[in-house]
Amino acid sequence: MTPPKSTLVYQAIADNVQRVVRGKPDVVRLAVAALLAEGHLLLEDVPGLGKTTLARCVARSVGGSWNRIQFTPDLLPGDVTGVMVYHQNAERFEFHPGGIFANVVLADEINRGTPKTQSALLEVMSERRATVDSVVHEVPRPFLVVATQNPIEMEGTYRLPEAQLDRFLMRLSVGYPDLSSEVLVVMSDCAQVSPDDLSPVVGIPELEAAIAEVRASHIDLAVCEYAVRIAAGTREHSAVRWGASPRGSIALVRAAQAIAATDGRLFVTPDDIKAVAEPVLAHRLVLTPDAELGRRQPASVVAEVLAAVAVPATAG
Amino acid sequence: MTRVAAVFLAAAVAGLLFVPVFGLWPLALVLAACAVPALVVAVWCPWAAWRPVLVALAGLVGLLAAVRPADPVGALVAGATQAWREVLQSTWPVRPDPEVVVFVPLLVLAASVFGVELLHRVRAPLVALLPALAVVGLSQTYAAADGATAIVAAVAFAACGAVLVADGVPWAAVALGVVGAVLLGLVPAGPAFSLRDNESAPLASARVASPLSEVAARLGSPDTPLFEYTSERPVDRWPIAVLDEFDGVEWTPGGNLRRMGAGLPPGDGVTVPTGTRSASVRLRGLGPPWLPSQDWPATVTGVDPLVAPGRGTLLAEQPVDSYELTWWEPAVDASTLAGAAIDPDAAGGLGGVGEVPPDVTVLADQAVGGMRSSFRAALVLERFLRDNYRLVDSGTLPVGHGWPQLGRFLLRDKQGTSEQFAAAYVALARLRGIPARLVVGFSGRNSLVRNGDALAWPEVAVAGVGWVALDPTGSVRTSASGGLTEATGEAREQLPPAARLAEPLLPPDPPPAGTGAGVPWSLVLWVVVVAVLGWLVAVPSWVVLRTWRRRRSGTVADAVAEVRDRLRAVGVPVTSAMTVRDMALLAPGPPTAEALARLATAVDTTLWSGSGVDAREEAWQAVRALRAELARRAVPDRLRAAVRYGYRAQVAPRMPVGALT
Repeated sequence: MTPPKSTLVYQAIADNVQRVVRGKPDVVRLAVAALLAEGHLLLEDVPGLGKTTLARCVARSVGGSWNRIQFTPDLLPGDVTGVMVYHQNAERFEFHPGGIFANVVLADEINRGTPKTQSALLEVMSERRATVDSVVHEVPRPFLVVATQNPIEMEGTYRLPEAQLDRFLMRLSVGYPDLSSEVLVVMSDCAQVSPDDLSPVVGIPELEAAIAEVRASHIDLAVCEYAVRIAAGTREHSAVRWGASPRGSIALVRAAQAIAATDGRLFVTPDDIKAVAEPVLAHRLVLTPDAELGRRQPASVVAEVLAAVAVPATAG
Repeated sequence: MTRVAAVFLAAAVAGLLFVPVFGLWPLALVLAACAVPALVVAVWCPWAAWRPVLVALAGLVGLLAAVRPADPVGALVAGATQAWREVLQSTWPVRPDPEVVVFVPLLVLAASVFGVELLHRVRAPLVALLPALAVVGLSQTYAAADGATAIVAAVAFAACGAVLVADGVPWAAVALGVVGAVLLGLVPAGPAFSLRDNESAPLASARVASPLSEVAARLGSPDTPLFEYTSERPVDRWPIAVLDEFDGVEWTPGGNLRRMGAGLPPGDGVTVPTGTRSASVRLRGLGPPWLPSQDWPATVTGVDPLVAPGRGTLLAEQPVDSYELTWWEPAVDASTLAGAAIDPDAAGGLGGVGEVPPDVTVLADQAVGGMRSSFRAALVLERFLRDNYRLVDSGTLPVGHGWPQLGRFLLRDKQGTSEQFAAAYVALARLRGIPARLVVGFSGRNSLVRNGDALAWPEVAVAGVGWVALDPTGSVRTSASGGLTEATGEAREQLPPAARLAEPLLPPDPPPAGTGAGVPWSLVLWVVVVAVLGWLVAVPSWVVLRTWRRRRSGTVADAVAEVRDRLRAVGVPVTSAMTVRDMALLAPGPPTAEALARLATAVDTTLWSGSGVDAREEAWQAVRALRAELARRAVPDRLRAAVRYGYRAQVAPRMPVGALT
């Protein structure tokens, strides 16, 4: 049986990315799933684990335009969205687009930007258009922001507000590779294989078709209710002050649709919901002060909710 | 529906712990009449907001239909506000009056309504049992359950709690609770506390003249009719008051008064066979509060009297026209009675005697000839008074029953009425360690009892028989129709002359307390054996039936349920939050995991793909493959799995729930 187009797109991108990013097939799968769901991706981990490399690989694998914005404290909102520049010859203002105007935008070390700059980026992420001097400028479609941030160096950084974290479809941690994978990473470096060596394997039309196919995939009402019950469960958990919003429920279903496509299916199962629950929901939770003092992690809270909510139809 | 029924069942079990108070059938009937309609409404009520009101109304209608009170509203109000105290003031089982019998059904109905609402509104289902547990707590302040009753109630509550935990049954906790309840039930305990210990029925009349003081006055006008009775055979005596407290001046009744309940058993000290007698009494001149009675009244109809339990005294605050009295009468032969021991634990038997004149103590020793306290010694004392003192019943009658009058009677005048005879006998008996009490009443030689039949007599407490009336005056004419009076007369005749008196043989020593008496070990053993055998047969049978039913239905969901229970039976901790692929991760062995993967594919195709494909055959093929794989396990493991109750055996870990934000 012929696999769906979205599955072929996933396999092409994943194979391409894994030429450089070794030993992390699950992370690559989720990252590409975010791309297929047309959702933004936040990569959070300590330095040196390949966040930027992964983001660059994903960007390079897609045939459209891509930009990299290195966030620093002196980065201005105009550098992100663009500015109006006066042209003396033409005697009029012309719009010079910022780094955000690309199909794939790599926002590196996003927490080093000022809140004002972060806000400018996040507004575009949410609305997929930039407003400069009261003029609306649409960003190209598909539009994916892959942001990275370092969770351990807090000096000189500005933590992303929860309301803005909510704009990211998933938050992923790359994690340390195992021994054999790390050997492969070192060997690749010795062989001078870098993201710049990757060629685009999927064009924008194919990617748009894959995204449309994922959005149209079937989800049973019981599975949808299961997803909503999980999101609602995060609001009732004793360690959670603010749980996932309905936007989180929507994101959970969309991410599950995409992860189902990576498995060759155009329908969602409860297993798909469970597979994406932690990367989709964990960064949307605000824990209680007691839970934070007790070093509870949002991921463990999501795991407890998953272990407590009965799966549909076959529960017993 | 099952969980709602469990809440109702728990409340009903709590209500049934009031059985010692109301009796089994009167209580069970009104509970059923109240709970069944309420349960039906609770299960089928489509309006959640109105459910508590409708359930309560259904229960109340059923209850009122069962008890049919003349004033329904008044009965419910009295049941909710006054019945709790009236129950404590009554003997148990209480009379099934509508105003009283609605007490427990109202409690059960309230517990059920609150429990059902808690079940629907609170995430922790066991909270729904709290109202029923409150009823249990209240019942234990009335009558503490012990032994088998406590075990059965604990098991019933454990079963209800298990049903309420919908996702699975914490069998380990249930087993621990049952074992704990059994052990607690077997622990020998002392007398349990009861709120009834501190309650008694108040007598409206603040002061009542002592009937003992009226004996001489009654004898002065002997023809005045008091009451008449009809019975199968003559009744020798009609007691109206038992006076067992003596401070040297006055004889007063002891013990608490209670409202007469539905019936009284014979006394705890009566171990010989008992029969019942009855009589119809019609009062003609005897005013309140005293009513002619017997030592062990069983039932009283036609009047709602107060009673002194253990003494038999009946009192009515309002004038009474007539009533029917049934009483217990011990059946004992003369030889047994003659050799019987006294009962030193009889209530009021060894009460006070006040400040005794010195010469009276010496006289008491002489009267019984130095014999130790026994029924034979009591008969010797009776003969002493009969032989050495004279009864006067006309002319100037001596009055008084304090030590001055008794001293004059015993040491100087040596003549008196039955008042002095009885009082002197009781005082001398107590001085010799013989438990005795003074009873005032009437002789029943005629069916029409008059003032001239007024009489006071002593009673002694005999082990196993209860109170036995004696006649130190020698004037009471007894019927020759059997019974305790005739046996006493025969024992009196068998008494040898004073010169040939010998001590009776000592009765065998009773077994020491606390050696396990009362623990039905054989019953416990039978219960355990039957439970184990029942489990070994019932669980495999249920599993076979369950599999057959699912296979007959044949859906993919049934296949998943079958696999889930099979895995649980072999010890895999499957929870309701697990998908088939999650189960595969815990599967014992790769072939099992492979079968589960095939089942997962069938589930995805059938239930979630939306394609309309039904892969039930593939699903059940996977089930068969899994069963075949599990059948390869070692024989002990398979036997263990066969008797393990796997249905809903695993509970998904409960998420810690906080306040909604």
